[in-house]
Amino acid sequence: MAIDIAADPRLRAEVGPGRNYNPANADMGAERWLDVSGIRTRYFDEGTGAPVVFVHGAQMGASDGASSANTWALNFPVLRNWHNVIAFDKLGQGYTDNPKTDADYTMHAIVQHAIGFLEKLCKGPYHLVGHSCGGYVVSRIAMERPDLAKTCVCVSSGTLSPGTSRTRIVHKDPPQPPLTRESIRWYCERYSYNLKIVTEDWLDGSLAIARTEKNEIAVAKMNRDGLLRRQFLPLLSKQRTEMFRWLQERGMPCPTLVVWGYDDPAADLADGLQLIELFMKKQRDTEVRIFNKSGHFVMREHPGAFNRLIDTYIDAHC
Amino acid sequence: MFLQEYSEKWVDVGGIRTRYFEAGIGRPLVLVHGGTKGDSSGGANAEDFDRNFAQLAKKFRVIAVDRLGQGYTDNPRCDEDWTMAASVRHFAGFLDALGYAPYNLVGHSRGAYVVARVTLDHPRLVESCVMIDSSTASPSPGRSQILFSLNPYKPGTVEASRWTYETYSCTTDHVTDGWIAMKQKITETKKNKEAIAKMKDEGLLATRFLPELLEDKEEFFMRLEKDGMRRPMLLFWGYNDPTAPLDCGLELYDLIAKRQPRTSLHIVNQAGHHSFRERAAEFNRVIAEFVEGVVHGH
Repeated sequence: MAIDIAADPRLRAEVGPGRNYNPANADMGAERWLDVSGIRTRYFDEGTGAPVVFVHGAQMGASDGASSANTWALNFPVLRNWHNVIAFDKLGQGYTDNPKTDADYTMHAIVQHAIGFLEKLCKGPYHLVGHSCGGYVVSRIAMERPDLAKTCVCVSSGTLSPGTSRTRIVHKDPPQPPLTRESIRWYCERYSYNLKIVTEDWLDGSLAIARTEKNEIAVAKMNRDGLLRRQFLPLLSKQRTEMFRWLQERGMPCPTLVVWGYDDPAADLADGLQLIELFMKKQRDTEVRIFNKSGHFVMREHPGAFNRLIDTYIDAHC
Repeated sequence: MFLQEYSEKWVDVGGIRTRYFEAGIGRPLVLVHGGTKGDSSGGANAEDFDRNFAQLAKKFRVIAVDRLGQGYTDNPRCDEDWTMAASVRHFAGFLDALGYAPYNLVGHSRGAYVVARVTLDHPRLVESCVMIDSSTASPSPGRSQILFSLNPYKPGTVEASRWTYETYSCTTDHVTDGWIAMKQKITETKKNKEAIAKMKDEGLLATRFLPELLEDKEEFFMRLEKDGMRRPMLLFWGYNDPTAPLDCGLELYDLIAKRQPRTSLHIVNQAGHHSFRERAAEFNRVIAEFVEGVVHGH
């Protein structure tokens, strides 16, 4: 028996209009550009209030899609009403330049670029919100540069979790060729609980990036030239082990919220619980929120509830 | 009185004089304590929520009630009613008597079973339901009996009470002298002594309360599997709860999430069995976020 607030003026008066957390549009605002040590970096920067930085997932040269700041299209336009929201394309992703050398096709370079971006923007300390691979990035930033992190929200980060990635199992036998609309749709659907969240809008954005020349170069380097297996993954594995040690020895320097989808097929909750154990060890202000009926993209599966959670969490830490 | 800014209120619920507190305007939010009448946890009462009541009253019509036979609410009137089922019936009667339905219910420990049971059996009374640190309501075993067995102090003494609450906690700042004294005062009432006589000396705890609870729980879990909860649910858990460990929360979540799509689990660190006291700021924030989310439809 859902209560229709709109139909009952007495209840509406009691509850108050409150903040509307449902996305009305996917308008990220104006594209902006910043030179970060020679890397032309695309970002969005809207609203006033506490600076909140959104860091999207995946890495340069991915063959399953093309992630960018637009991943946050259901969250950014809502939260801009009460905060200074910032979302940028990570090194070699979206419309941000590729790394200048092959040696920079690493997670280390991604993190350093992100730190450079935050420094240059000069609005810190920030509330950092990272999804998947971006969850690793924000946690690593907080560890390396506590001065930049006021709070850290780590969403569905299999990248940061102990355990072996399940993405290769979940993504067995993908349609060929890769990086077509149908291929990207197939991957997005396998990541999701509710297939309806895989909208044409989302695919359009991903496809447009996938077809850029710079993205084709990154894909070739990571896959055909083997940088992913030869360099990116081995180094990431080493750095992740280092993160596990840091989390146990000194812990996150700021309040941390871990968010997970109960039905995430790629970043399994069992791995997430191990990560949570590491976060809990040293950082007193660690919290966890698990969303039901949600795959990997929690912020897209439940945008209203996700936006409410982030908004109230940030308000409590301002 | 602990919630001294708020005057005690009384309502007759089927002949049971029932104590409660009420403050604020807005959606009704009812806080339900844990414990068992006449048992070593018999000091639990509405005022356990003294770190939450005023904060939540800024946003909701907050109500905290003493369950049947606990706090200052009358003892059951017949032997058949020294059961959890009677406590659930009394609570549902209390909600009816107040007349603010539908309610947002928040229950702790044994109280989580009470609110979940009312949500399952009387969905018309309920808008949403929050369960905190409960092994009673979980298919996974709790550890309270193991913990209790180590208590070195004489039952019913201040020392025994303090030992229990400290052992149940991760951080002990919330176990204040005032809180213990408030509970001790209840422990020493004539009414509570009668409850102890019934439950311990006459043996109703072992012969009636616990066996019937076990049967009720079995049926409760079967109903969760079969019908499911029909209202949005939040499970709130202390990561370091020694008596209702996180596994209780995870197993309960598995069970409820299967049938109720709007089920969330929120875990707070450095919190034992009274997570709503140990991490009161986080609790108050998350409860408001959850209930407002339910009201606004997500």
